[in-house]
Amino acid sequence: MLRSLATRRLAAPLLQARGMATQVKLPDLPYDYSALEPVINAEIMELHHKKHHQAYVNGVNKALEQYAEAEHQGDVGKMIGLQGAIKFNGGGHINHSMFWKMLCPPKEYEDPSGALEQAIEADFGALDGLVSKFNAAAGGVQGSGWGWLAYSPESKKLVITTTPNQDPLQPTAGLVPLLGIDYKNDRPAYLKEVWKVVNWAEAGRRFKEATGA
Amino acid sequence: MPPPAALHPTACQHQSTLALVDLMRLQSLRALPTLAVWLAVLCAASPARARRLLDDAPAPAPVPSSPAQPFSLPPLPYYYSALEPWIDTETMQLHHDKHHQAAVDKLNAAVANRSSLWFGGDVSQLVRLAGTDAVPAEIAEAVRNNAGGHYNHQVDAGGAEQLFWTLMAPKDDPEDNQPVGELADAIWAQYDSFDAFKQLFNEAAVARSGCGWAWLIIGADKRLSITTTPNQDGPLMAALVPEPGTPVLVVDVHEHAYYLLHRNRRQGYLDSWWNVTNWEQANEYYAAALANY
Repeated sequence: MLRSLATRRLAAPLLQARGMATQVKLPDLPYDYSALEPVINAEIMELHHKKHHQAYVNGVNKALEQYAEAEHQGDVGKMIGLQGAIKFNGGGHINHSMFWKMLCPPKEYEDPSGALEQAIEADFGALDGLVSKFNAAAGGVQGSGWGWLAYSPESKKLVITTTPNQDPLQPTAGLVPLLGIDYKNDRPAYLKEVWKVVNWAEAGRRFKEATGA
Repeated sequence: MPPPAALHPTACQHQSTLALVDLMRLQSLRALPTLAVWLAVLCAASPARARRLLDDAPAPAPVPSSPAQPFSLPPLPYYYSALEPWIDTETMQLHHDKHHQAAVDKLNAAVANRSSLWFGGDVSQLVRLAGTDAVPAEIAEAVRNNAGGHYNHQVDAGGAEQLFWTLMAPKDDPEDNQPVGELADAIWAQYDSFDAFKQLFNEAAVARSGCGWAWLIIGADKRLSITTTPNQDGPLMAALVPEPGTPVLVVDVHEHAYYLLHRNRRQGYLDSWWNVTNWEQANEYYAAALANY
């Protein structure tokens, strides 16, 4: 029994080394599927997390495994060929993992405070100014993509930007224009409502980290 | 080319609809109990279907094109509900009246003062210029997205290619929907069987990440080819797509095309879509494209 225990403890890292592939996991939501009602309904939360995000996790794990194998075989052509799948699925995983934390139940909503609040006033005048600029940018995204509120270490300012598909970004806070069932084609309506579930505390924490404040 | 008579909304293919309309024309009070019985039977048999027959209306008439509106959205060649249960009524309404209409509106706004890009409302000529210098830089993105979107969906533009909407039609035997004519021969010759072709097409359509379209095209070599494009790009955009060609068959794989009924399951949508693909129309496009090459 001792021997089999030892074998099992050694086996996992050895297998991992042989596999040489990074693998990611679907993170749990920090709240129930219904926690963001009535702004985002439980069905869309469950679909978005259990189906869409899970698909990105499965996709990137498969692509990373294949990439590790290709690298092991020195097949540069194949490695290049896999990069699209890694970017799309890996980006999807990164973006959504952040996204879940950037939302909170509507009754826990609080306006931005502290250093982030000051930065918002300095760069946008007021929260309203940020929201309308953000919605204009996010509303203009063609097809699928993300709207971001980000901090730029270069200019030391808050910026609003968008990325297409699942391209990742290093943001301070992220919001996604996803056309969900509740809002159907009406992206502007979604963008109007979603601000009620934005987790400014999380955004503030990221801002502190980014600015070294 | 006007849609064939059998598909015109006023032709009322569906027998139950005909019967219901006739019943509703009856003036006499004596007819009312019959009408009530008919409705009761219909509702008992299929409540959802009864609701659709009563609520249904053909797609609205087109706004004629004008200098202010060089491009216009024609109506669907069938009722919104015509493709049930494969494609649901609500999706058809939203997809045509909201998404496609938005593309037309944005396109008109983008080319408002540039009559050289109007082509008499024939958007197929405009899409060919996407990504080239013929389109001014400041409207290049808007033209790519919205002319692309209008072209990929469009019903009719004075004889030019007609795509997604007309490549679907209600079928008498949807679960045995097969290619016809020269196109069928070409598919069998090139792919060995319809099933083998379907599998390749499905794989490509599912693999298209995010928004886009899956196409069966014919190239200058007169061979069929399965290809996909992102967002609203299409195979006529020779400057932008790796595999240009002439469309023969197309399916929209944006989530708005299937999410209400199929949610995230794109393959489920594709399985349904094969039951309504309009092979007669696809065969006509194939023959026309062959003649042009």
